[in-house]
Amino acid sequence: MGWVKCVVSGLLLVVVAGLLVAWSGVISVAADQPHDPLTYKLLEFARERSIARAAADIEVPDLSDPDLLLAGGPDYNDMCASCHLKPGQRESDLSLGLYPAPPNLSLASAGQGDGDEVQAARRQFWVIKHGIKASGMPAWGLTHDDQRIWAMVAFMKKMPQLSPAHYQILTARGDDEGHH
Amino acid sequence: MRIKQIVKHSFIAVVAAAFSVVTQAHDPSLHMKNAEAPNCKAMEGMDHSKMDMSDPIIRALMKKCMAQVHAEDGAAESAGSSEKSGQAQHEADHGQHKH
Repeated sequence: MGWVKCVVSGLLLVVVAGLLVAWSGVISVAADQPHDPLTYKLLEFARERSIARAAADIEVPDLSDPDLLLAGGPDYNDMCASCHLKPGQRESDLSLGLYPAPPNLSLASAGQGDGDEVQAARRQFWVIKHGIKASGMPAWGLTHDDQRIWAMVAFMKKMPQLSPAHYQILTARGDDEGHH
Repeated sequence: MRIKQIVKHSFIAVVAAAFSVVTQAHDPSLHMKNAEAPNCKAMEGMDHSKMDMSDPIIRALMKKCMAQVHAEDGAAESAGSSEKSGQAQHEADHGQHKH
């Protein structure tokens, strides 16, 4: 019975200590002061595990339809490009200022998972739809239906292959009334 | 009576909130005012014989630029026809003036 008391007291002590640290205000929330590498890795690990678990059962539709690129391109340009950049762009005020830094989705290495295309598509769909807490990534699913989100996923999948000129053509909304 | 009022007001508030969310949704037509046209001239320099027509990107580009060409042709045609009808009207007016 004594050891139970010991464990409970220890846990209580940890909780109280945590609350005291939070209350003291010494934890920096400034976006220009990065986490220490261990905290960053831990948060990143928790984030990726959470997304993988939540997105595991999402059914991925056929994303090869060119109409999806035409529908998703303008939405990407309006909603995502200011943070996640576009072909030929290396940085923006938002990509520099946000923490954690939003991935540059015009690069093949970003946001594409570990080579598993289906899992990458599931991940991107889930992140666009639900957003990520305290990261600057909004939940677009509150105002956009699944079809529009899948169109953005289809566009993002192809974006690393686009030149700046192709990007401009596919994302221009002019003469585009028929696609929505 | 008071409970009924609270329920009624809550219902109205919920409906109003839901409606405001729907109306705030990102509507593509909001972006049409400042929308830029696709710069399809960039496609002119490409060697069309080397394009893979099964590639969704190429198909999307072709579709977008064909839509633009059709839109420009339509605008040119309507401008031409309005010019012609204007000319016909002018001639008719001129004829009436003679009589």
